[in-house]
Amino acid sequence: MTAVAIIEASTTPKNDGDSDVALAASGDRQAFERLYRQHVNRVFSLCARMVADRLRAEELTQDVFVRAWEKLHLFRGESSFGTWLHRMTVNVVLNARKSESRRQSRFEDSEEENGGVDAVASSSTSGTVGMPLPPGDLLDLEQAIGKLPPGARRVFVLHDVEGYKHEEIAEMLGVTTGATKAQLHRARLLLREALNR
Amino acid sequence: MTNDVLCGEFAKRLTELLERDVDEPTRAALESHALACADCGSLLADVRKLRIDASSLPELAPARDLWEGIAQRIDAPVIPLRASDGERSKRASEWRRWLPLVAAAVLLIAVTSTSTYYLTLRHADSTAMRTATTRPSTRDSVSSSGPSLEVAAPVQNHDTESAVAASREPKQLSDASTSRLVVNAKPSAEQVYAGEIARLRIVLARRRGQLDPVTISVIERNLKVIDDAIAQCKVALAKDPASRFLMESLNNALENKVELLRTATMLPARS
Repeated sequence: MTAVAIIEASTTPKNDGDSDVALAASGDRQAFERLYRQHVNRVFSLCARMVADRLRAEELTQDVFVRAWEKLHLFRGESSFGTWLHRMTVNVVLNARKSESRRQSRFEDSEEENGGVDAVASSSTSGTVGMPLPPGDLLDLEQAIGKLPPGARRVFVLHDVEGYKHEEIAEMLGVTTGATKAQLHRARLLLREALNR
Repeated sequence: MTNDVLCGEFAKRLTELLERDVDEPTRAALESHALACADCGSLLADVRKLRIDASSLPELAPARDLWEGIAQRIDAPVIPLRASDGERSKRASEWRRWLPLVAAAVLLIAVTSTSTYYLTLRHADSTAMRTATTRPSTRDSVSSSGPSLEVAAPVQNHDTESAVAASREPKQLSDASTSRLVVNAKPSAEQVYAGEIARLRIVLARRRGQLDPVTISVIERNLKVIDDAIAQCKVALAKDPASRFLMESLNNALENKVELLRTATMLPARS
């Protein structure tokens, strides 16, 4: 089923993004559906890697596109629609994390304290629930990312996977660049040790 | 600088090295150390590969089509605020259903309160009048003329009993209401007694020819007894105006006279 979804997404004909954006902004649902088909995998990938929970990632993906529909009239074309949507995805995920922070704070704190090399390495043999499995080393990397402590995982995904700079990540997370660099360094060391076992 | 210290420095500055956030001499020194140190060289190689692999991760796809859920949400113009409106509308509907009952309850309370107020006011006036009648002035005269007794006459018996009771329990009225009403009602009480007695005497005089002479004789004797009692009470009150006993005796005598006259006027004609 996952393979089918990937094939469908990859075979969706590319439309003129700008015209679809304009049509969707004027209320054309079919145009917005085309935009959804074009960008859903990237949005879902970011959500899934950020939260390491497939079901939650699907919910967040839907939230992102609903929010995009509501905010599309604010899109000015200063960047590409994909970049705008990607940034919106990060905001949705981080805002969801904030709203759930009270409930998860104890878990994350304990995970941040107790999670580490052992936690990542010991789970490397069991895949992240529902996560599609890439081949070879990437399979292990995908699984290892899912087992990182949340703080380190978020910074690693945003920096090494998505290509954001430390200044941007620090702004999104509301922390200093020193903190993001420390989290990134920690994530890399944890992943290296997990992948080398 | 020992090798351990340099390895520690290398690990510490690895991120800066990869981000190219170090000056050229430092970068050269760190690269040189990585070439000479197997552990640090391996670390640098692994992290560089990790970065490449991370940036090359394929896109993931959801296991199901999420569009249906999205379409439902963007089609339905329902937002939390609308939901609140619905709740408010529901509450308003319930309120409208109860509104007639609430209005009826408020009206009932208003009517009851108003009725109670006016009834209490009338009772106070009536009580004040009775109080006044229990304190007839020594100047009271049964022969003085007064206003019509058409209204007072039908309730005379009841009022008479009340007047006696009131005269026996004067403290049941508040001092304020008593003083106010007594001052205003005292002349009226004198007029009430005198007026009714005069009216009853007129009626009795008209019926005199219809009544048995023996009966008339009995009535006249009884009236004389009562008048004597009234006169004695007035004389005694002139000497002791504050005597409650004398006041009650005078009140009873006047009441008896009114009652006797009323009875006489209603006697059947002789056969």
